[in-house]
Amino acid sequence: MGYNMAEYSEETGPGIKDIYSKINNRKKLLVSILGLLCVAIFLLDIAIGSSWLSIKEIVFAMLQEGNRINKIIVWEVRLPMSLAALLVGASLGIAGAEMQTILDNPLASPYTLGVAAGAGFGAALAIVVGVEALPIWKGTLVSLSAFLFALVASLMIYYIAKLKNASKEMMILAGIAILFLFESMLSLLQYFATEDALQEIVFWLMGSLQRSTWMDLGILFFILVPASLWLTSKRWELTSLRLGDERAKGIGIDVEGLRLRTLIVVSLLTAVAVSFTGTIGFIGLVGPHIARMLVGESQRFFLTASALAGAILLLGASIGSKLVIPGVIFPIGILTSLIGIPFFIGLILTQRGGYWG
Amino acid sequence: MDIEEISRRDFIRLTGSLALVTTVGGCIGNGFGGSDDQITITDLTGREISVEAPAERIVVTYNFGDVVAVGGEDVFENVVGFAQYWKRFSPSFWQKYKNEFPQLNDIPNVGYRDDVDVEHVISLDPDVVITSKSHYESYSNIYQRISNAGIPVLALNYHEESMEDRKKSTELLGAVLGKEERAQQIWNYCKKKYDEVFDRLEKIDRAKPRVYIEPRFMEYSDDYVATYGDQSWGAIIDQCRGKNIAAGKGTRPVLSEEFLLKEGDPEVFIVEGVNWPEALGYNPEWEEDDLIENIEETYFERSGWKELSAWKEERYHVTHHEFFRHVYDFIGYQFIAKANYPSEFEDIDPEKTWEEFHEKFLPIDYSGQWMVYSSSE
Repeated sequence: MGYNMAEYSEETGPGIKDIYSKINNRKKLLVSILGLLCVAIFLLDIAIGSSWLSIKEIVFAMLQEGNRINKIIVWEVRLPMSLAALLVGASLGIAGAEMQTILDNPLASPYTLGVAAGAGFGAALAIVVGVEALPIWKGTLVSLSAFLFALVASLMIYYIAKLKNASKEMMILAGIAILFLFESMLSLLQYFATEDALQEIVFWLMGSLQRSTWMDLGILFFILVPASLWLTSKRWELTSLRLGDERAKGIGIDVEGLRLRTLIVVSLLTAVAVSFTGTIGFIGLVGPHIARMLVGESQRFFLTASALAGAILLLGASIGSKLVIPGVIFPIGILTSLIGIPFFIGLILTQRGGYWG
Repeated sequence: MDIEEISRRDFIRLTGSLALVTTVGGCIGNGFGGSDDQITITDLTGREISVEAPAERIVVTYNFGDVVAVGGEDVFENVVGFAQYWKRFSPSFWQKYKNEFPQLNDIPNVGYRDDVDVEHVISLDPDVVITSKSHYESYSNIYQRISNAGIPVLALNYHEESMEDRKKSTELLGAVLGKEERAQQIWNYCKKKYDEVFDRLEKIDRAKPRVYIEPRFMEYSDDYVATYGDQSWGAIIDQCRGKNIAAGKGTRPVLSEEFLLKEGDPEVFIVEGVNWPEALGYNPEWEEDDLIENIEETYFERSGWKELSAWKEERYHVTHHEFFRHVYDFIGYQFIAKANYPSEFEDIDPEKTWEEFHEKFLPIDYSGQWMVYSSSE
């Protein structure tokens, strides 16, 4: 694998600082554009819904004025969905970006290592067992169980990988094994589930933004913020991981420790996002790739850009899910892929040269 | 039993039920009599809800057939939102009702199951949202959000083959739609039909026949299709004193060929037609003979099937998917009971009962073909 060393190797030569700051300024501009785009599409998502409220009505409702139904629609339906799309999209974008970084693999996503499979199993378990036991708290129970099993999955990977020096190969193999383990346990549950529970599991796995409550959004936010801060504080170390384990060690980085700790943070982000909305695929894979194509590998831009790209993709899919069949919320999991894939392939085709360095 | 006798009995029951309804109405709340009153009821999920009754703006996301049975024609004026699941899952009903009530087509689609658009439902400003207990519990986030917006959600339960729940669901529908009397008439009629089946079954002490039921979704499949374990048709087979060979094997198990041929060896084989419009429903193209011939040339061409008791004894029958999980489930019970014990149920004709139910309670005319017994019955 050849490394794209342009940013690191040209240590000499006149005007290097100028070039460096020019590149940085261009990247800052790109990240700002992404940010603006994200805000715009977020507002658009709030503005769109089957009852076609006017902008004035929406603003009034936001200010807790006017028609009772409009207030309910804006505060209890639209805002939670749009915020969920924003937060979940950003979480998955970041989780995917760091998964690709620590595994040094372009195929990696938050779901690669079985974290989402663990969440899926946990949700299904709560659906199958919890329906009878605690019908009223079922929504919470399903999220909680999904979260716990996502963490169980990642802890299993953590400990298996730790036994073998936390090499990325070991981590991937352990992760794939855990993925299949939870998937077969999920199938087992589905096999014995009642017809209604089965239907519910299928829908849960497809993902939906209609599930999250204000409380869930709060939890998402309070995981996303510290996780991003921690990752930002490790931005240089993480960037150097992409140079390969040996080189990173050479410049004094605790590769194993960093990899394991990042895995935990990524798992937390994924587990929370997935447990509230279901397994919305593709965002965590494509968000980071889009970000990398735009701003490259350096984490201080890459991290923010991945979060923004993830949020933009999911917000776009959310708008789509409200428009495909008016008056019906089309499953978002189907749309993320249908919208994202052509876009993604277009981006790959228009890239000059190889970009995964 | 002739029609006259039924009507006379019904009249007696009706008078009795009027008294009963008054009592129920009293228990239900202050809603009996006056219009547009708030009534407080406990639905089938055990939640207490307060509904403006009779409800004039109704959203239905499940159990539409039951809402139509209890509510009658008025339903097509009062339903303002509908999960158009009939279009996909019961095309025969959709066509028939659409011809009779073209406005059905204009009722906004609010989405089905997980697709229900909460905003759309809220913006229709309904007095009540009617769904099933199973949908309420499976998509609790959606229905809780609707409840939080101050819209009462009435969950019914015709799903778990429980007499008590069927009765309560029917009465609640009556109370909310302002059709208490009619609901009571319907329930009395249903109850009589169930009792008739169970009374006869009780007197039988022969060995239970082994039964196998397989759904057919439009096209025939050479592979065995997932049958019913302990629920739905499985429960009905059991309650009708049959031995479902798939009992205890999961909810919707696919039986192994070897098990079915050897240990299972059904004496009664039933095809339940799902969305099979050329054979079953209001406007089928096939005659009875075509249907039986089709069964013989498809299912019984599977390897080993000519060795099954069901083939040798010529006991293979077809019914429509509609006859379970509804207020008119007793049609399904009559059908299965007759399949299990043809001589004891010789004088009972479930297809006739279905026709009678149309005449008495449904706002459309009966037509078509809904079930066929092979020649021996």
